[in-house]
Amino acid sequence: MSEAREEFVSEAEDLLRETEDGLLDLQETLSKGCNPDVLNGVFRSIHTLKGLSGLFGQRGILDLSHAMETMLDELRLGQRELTEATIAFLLKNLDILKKLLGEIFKEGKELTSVDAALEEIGKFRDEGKGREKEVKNEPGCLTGIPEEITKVLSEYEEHRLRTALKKELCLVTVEAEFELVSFEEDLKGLIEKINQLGELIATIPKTLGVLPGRIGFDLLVALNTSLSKAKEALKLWSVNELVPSPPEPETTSSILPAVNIPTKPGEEIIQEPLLKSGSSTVRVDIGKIDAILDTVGELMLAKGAVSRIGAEISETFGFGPFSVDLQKVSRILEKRLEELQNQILEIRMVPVRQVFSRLNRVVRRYTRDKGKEIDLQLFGGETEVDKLMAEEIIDPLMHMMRNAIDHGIEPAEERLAAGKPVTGVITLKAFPKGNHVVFQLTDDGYGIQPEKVLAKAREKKLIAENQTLDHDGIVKLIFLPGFSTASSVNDVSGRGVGMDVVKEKVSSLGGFIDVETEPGCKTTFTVTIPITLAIIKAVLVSTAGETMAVPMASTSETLSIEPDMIQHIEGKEVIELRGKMLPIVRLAEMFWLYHDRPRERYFVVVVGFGGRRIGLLVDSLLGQQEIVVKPLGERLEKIKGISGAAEIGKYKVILVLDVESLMEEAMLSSQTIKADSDGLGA
Amino acid sequence: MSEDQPVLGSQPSAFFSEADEDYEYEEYEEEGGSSCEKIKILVFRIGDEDYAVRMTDLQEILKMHEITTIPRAPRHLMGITSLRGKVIPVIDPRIRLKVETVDSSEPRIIVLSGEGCPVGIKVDRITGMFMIKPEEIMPSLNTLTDEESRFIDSVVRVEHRFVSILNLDAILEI
Repeated sequence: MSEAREEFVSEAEDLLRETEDGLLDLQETLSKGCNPDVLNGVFRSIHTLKGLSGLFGQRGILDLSHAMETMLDELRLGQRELTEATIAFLLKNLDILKKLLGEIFKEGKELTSVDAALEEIGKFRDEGKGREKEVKNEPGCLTGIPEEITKVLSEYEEHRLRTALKKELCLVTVEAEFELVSFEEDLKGLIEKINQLGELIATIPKTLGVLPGRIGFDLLVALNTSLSKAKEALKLWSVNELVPSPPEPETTSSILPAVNIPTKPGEEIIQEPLLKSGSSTVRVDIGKIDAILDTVGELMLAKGAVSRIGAEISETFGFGPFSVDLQKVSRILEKRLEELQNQILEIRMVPVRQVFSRLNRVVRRYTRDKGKEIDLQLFGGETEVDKLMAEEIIDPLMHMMRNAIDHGIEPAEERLAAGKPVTGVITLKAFPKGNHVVFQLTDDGYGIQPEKVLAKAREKKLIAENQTLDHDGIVKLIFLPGFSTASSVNDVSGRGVGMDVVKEKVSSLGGFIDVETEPGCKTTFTVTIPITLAIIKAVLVSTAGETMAVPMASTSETLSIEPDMIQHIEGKEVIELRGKMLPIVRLAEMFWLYHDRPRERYFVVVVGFGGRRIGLLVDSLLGQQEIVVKPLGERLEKIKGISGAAEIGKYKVILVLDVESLMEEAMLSSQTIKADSDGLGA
Repeated sequence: MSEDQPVLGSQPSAFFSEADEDYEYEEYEEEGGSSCEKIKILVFRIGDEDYAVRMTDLQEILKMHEITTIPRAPRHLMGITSLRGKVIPVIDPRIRLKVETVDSSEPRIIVLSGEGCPVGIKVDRITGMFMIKPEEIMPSLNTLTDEESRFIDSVVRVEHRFVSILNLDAILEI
C-alpha cells in the first residue's frame, strides 16, 4: 500500500472513530437534550473526512460523507430534530464508510457502491421535510438582542441563540481583551471557563475601542447558571446582561466546577504567552516500532556474543584488567538494552478504553435490535495493553459479549418472573495482573445450566455416555469444538462459531480463558492475556534435537528427573510433585519427533496454573532468554501447538510453544475426542 | 548480515553478472518486436526436471538458510526460516512434483510473493532468466493425472528443453 494511502486510511480511521464516539455520546445523552458541542464535533469530523477523501480521490467516501455532512448540518442548525432514529441512521451510514475504508486498506480501492446509501439518505431527508419547515418557520423572537450582534451571527449561531431564548436562558455578552501575541491561548482559557457556565453562542471580534497591540472580543453566552455566579467567575471581564432569565432559586450544585476557577485579579492577563501547540503526540505506524524492536532483538544477540567472548577471554587468559572491563561494559550494555526494550514496549501500549468504545457501540446497537434492555458497565479503561493485543482481543470479547446478550440475559418477562430487574447488567472489567491483562465479563442472566450442557455434550458425542464430571468440568465443556448451545444460528453470536473459537484465539495469543457460573444468577468469563506478545521471557528447551521456547508466563517451575521417577497410572505417565500427581507429556512424542535412545536424565517444564497443570518432558534445558516472538503468518496459523517463532543466535529460528493448546490436547487425548490426524485442523 | 543478503533482490542485474554467459537471453529480445509482449521467467531445476516461475512473482533468491522444521506439519512444508526478521514458510516442492533430488550442490530458496505473505520454495539449482513470448506457452502434458497437473500451469520451450511453469497457487498452498 502506498504511503499516501496508508496515511489516508489512518487519518480517516481516526475521524470515523471520533464521529462514532460523538454519535454514541449523543445517543446516550439524547434524553437530556442534544449537546450542541458534541453534534458540532461530529459535523466537523465528517466535514474533515469529506475534505480528506476529496484530496485522495476516494469517490465513495467523498459522496457519502458529503451527504452525511448535509444531514448533520441540518441537525446542528436545528432544521431537523435529532432523534434516536436519526442517530441510528447515521451510525448505519458510518458503518458503510468503515466498510469502504476497509476495502481501501485491503484491496487498495473502494468496492462497495454508495449509490443505495445516498438514495436512502435522500429519502430519509425527504421524510423529515415536513417537520423541517415547521421548525424553520418558528417566529423569530430575537427581541432584546442588539442589531450589531444579530447581523453578524452565522446561521448556526442564530439557531443556537433562538434555542437559548426559547429555553429562557439568561443571555450575556462578555467583553474581553487580550494581548495580540498570546490571545489564542488566553481566549481558549476564557472559553473553557465559559463552557462551565453555559453555552458560548458566538465570538465576535471587536473593532472599536481596542488599544493597539491588543485584540478584543464580545462573547455571546447563554448561561446555565445565575448571572451573579457568572459575574463572580468572570470578574476579570465585564459581563453585560442582554436578556435576563426568569428568576429561579439558587441551586447551583450542577455547576460546581465554575467555583474553582482562580480569581486572583490580573492573573490571566500577565500569563506567559503559550505559542507552542498543545498536543505533543505523534502518530507512528506500528510496523516502524516493530522494526525498532527487531533491531533491538539483534542488538541483544550481539550483546550475547560480547558477553560470551568476555567469558572466553577470562577463561583462556585469566581475569586480566581488560576482561574485567569487558564484562563490566557488557553488563551495562545489557542493562541499557533492557531499558530500551521496555521503552519501546511502552510506546506500543494503548489503554483498553479503545477496545471498550468499540465494543460499546456494537453492544448498544445489538441490544436495540434484540429488544433487550441492557446496562453495559465498563471498568478499567485505563489499563494498558499492547496495541496489537488490543486489536486481537476485540473479536473474542465481542463474541463473548454477544453471547451474553443472546444467551446470558433473559428476556424482560422472564427476568421479572425471576424477580430480577428488567434491565440486564453486563460488566466488563479490565485490570493488570503481573505481565497479564485480565478481562472479566459478567452477565446477571440465566447462568449456565449444567444439566443442559451435559445433555448437549452427550447428544453431540463430545463425551462418553457414562463419563461423570464435576460442576466445573461440565461447565468447561462449552469450550469444546462442536459445542454450541445456541439452537438457532443468528447472524451475530451464531455465525457458526462457538466458545471453542474464542478459546482457540485467546490461547493463540498466549492467554487462557475460564468460566464460572451460578445457575439462574450470573456467569463470569475471565480472559487472561499477556500484556504484550512482542517480547517475552521464555525457557529454551531441547528435545529430539529440536530447540523450542516455552513462554515463562505459563511456566511455574522446572524439574530434573530420572526415568524411574515416572510412574504409570491408567496408561498415563505421571510423576509425583510435592505429594501430588503431575501428568507428564513427552514433547517429542506429542510432536512426532524421533528420539534417540532413552536418557539417564530428563527435564520437566511444569506449565499451567492451579489444578490444571502438566509437565512437558524434554531432553535438556538451555536456559532462560528474552525472545522476540514473530507470528508464523496467516499461511501457517492453523498449525496447532505452536504460537510463533523467534530468532536466537545467528539465523537460528526456533518455535515458541502454544502451551494452552498443548495442554488442551494432552487433556483431550484422554477423552473420546478424535485427535487431529494431520495436525492442521479443519 | 552479509550472508543474509539476497543473491537476487531488487536489482536483478546483480544476479546476471554472476550468471553463466551461456544463457543468451538477449538473443530472444532481438527476435521479437517490443519487449512488452515478452514474459520474463526464472528457470530452475528440481530433481532432473526444469521448472519456471514468472519473474513478476519472484521476490528474491536466497542462499540456503537453516530451516526450522515444524512438528506435525504436512510433509511438503519443509519448515520456516527468517527473511530479515520475518518468518516465512519454506516448501519442498519435490514431494508435490514427485521428483527426486539428483544434484543439489547449489540449493537456493526462491522467495515468491504469494497471496498475502511471501513463501519460499527450495530448488536444486538456478538455471537463469529467459524471455519468452506469450504464444510460446503450451498447455501441460495431457497424460498427467489431475493430481499431477494441479501444480503445473503450462509448458514452454527454452533452449530446446521443455520447462514447466509452476502453478503457484497450488504449489504454495500449505
